[in-house]
Amino acid sequence: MNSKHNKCSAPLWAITLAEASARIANQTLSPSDLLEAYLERIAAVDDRIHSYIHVAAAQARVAAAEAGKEIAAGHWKGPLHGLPFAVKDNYDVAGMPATAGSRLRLEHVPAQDAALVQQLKAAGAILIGKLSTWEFGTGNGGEYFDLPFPPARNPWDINRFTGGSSTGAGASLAAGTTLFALGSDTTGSVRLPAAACGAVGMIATPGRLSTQGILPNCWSLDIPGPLAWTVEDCAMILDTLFNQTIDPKNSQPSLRRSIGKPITGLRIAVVDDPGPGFPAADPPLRKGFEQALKVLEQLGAQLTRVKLPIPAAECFAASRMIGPAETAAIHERELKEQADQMGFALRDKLLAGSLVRAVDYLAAQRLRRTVATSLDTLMRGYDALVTFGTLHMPPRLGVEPEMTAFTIETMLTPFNLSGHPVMMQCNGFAKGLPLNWQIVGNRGDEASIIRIASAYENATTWREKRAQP
Amino acid sequence: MMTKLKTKKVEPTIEEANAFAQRHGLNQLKPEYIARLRELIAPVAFYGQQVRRSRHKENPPASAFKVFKP
Repeated sequence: MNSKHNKCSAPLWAITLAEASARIANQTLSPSDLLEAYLERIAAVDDRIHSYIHVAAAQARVAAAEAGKEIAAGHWKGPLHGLPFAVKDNYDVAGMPATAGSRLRLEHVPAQDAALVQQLKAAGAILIGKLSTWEFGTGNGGEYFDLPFPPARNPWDINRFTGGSSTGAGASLAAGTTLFALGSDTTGSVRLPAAACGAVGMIATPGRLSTQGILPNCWSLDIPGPLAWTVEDCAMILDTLFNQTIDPKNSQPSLRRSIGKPITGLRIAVVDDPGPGFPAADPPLRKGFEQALKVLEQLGAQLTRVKLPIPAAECFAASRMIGPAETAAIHERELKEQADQMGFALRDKLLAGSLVRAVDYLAAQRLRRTVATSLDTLMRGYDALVTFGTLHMPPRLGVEPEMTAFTIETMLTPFNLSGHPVMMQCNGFAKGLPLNWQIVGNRGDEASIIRIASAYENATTWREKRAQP
Repeated sequence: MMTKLKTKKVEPTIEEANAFAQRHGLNQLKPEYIARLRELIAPVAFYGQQVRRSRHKENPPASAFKVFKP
C-alpha cells in the first residue's frame, strides 16, 4: 500500500481508497463509520457543489451495516468490501431514480443494476447515491442552468466549471463526497471532470468494462470509467471490475502490482504540440507539462518527442459527426416528441445530429479506423505516450465560450477514436486550480499507464492537497 | 484531404429549415427550435466537409469496432 498520501490526522473522507480498504480489512475501521464520514461530508459541502442528484443514505447505511457484519464474521469479500462509491446518474441502479439529469426521466426507476454497479455491489462496495451529469450524459460543452438539478460546481473554485459530462463525479472526488465514482466517457466525459477537478480519471481498452445499464449516448465511442483520488485507488477499482467481468477470460494480472515499480528505461512518446487547428495549451498547463516530463526523466524514463499522426483537431472534427449523429439516432423519439422538455445543450446536440449527412458520418468512421491504426503504429515503439489533457484551465461556470473551448479544444478525442486506454492525471496546480496531463497505453496495456502514473504521483506532492469548497 | 474548392457557404432560409423538419418527422418542433435548426445547418455542413477523406475506396468505416479481448 502506498502510505505517502495518508496521514493519521486526515479526516476519514480524505483517506485514500487503499488506506480505507486496509483499515476495513484489518477491522480498525468499520464500513458504517466510513460511510457516516462521507454522509457528514455531503451534508457539510454538497449544497455548495451539487455533486449529487440523489443520496441514498438509508440504503447505504443498511448495506454498510451488513458489510460490517460480514467482515466481522470473517467473510471479507476483497479490497472494495465496505467502501462507499457513487455513480453518474446515467447508470441504472435497481429501485433508484435514474434521471440522467433530465426532466424527461424524472420518474424513471430501473428494475436492474447496471453491470458495473452489480459488480461493485458483489464486491461488497456500498453505493451512496447518484451523481450529477449533463442531461443524458451529453451536451454541447456548456452549462445553461435549465435542467431540473443545479449544475455541479468545481470544488477548487465554486464559480468554475467542473467539466462534463460526469460533472458530479469530478466534483465529488475533489471535495471528498465519495471515495470513488463511476463516470462515462464518449469524447472526454470522464477525463474532462477529472482534469478540471484534479482527480484521476481513466478509460480502459474498449470492451473491458461493460456498458450494460448505462444510458447510451454514442454506440461507437461510449466507454465507462472510474474516477478516484490516487492512481493506486484507480488500479484497485479496475482490478475488481476486470476480474469480475461476465467473460471469465476477460481478466488479467493485478494492476495494483504495477504500483511502485520503477520506470527506468521505459520508452515514452511525448506529444507536446496540439498540432494544426487547436491553440497551444495555456501557459500554466505547458509549464506543468514540461515539469512533469522532467520528473519522468529523473525517474529514468526515455522520452522521445513525437507528433500525433492525425492532429487532435481533425479527430475532434470526426467526433463532431459521429457523436451528434449517433445521439440523435438514439434519442430521435425524444427530439420529435419532447424537445421542449429538454435543456438547451441536449436539444442543440440532437438538432445538430439530425443534420449530419450519412456521407460525412461515414467519412468520420473511416477516419476513425485510420486514427486507430496510425496510433498503433506510432505506439509500437513505446511503452506509453504522454500528452496534454485539456488545453485550457478550468473556465468560469456560465461563460459559454470559455466552457465550450475547454470542452472542445483538448487532446482527448484521438484516444476515443482509436480505442487506446488512457488516464487523466493531475500534474500540479496554478492559482489554486488543478493542471492535468494524459498518459496513454498500448491497447490492453493499462498496467504501463498505472506504473508510470504511480511513479509520477509518488515523486510529487499533488495528492496531499484537497479542495475545501 | 477533401478538396474545399467546391463547397460554398450558403445561408439556409427558415423555409428550408422548416421543410427539413417536416420531411424528417420533426414537425412538432417549436418555431424557436426551427430557428436554431436553421442556424445549425451551415456549420454542421461545414464541419462535415472538414473531415479528412480516405484516398482508398476499399477502406471501410469503423462502424463495427473490433473489441479487444486479451
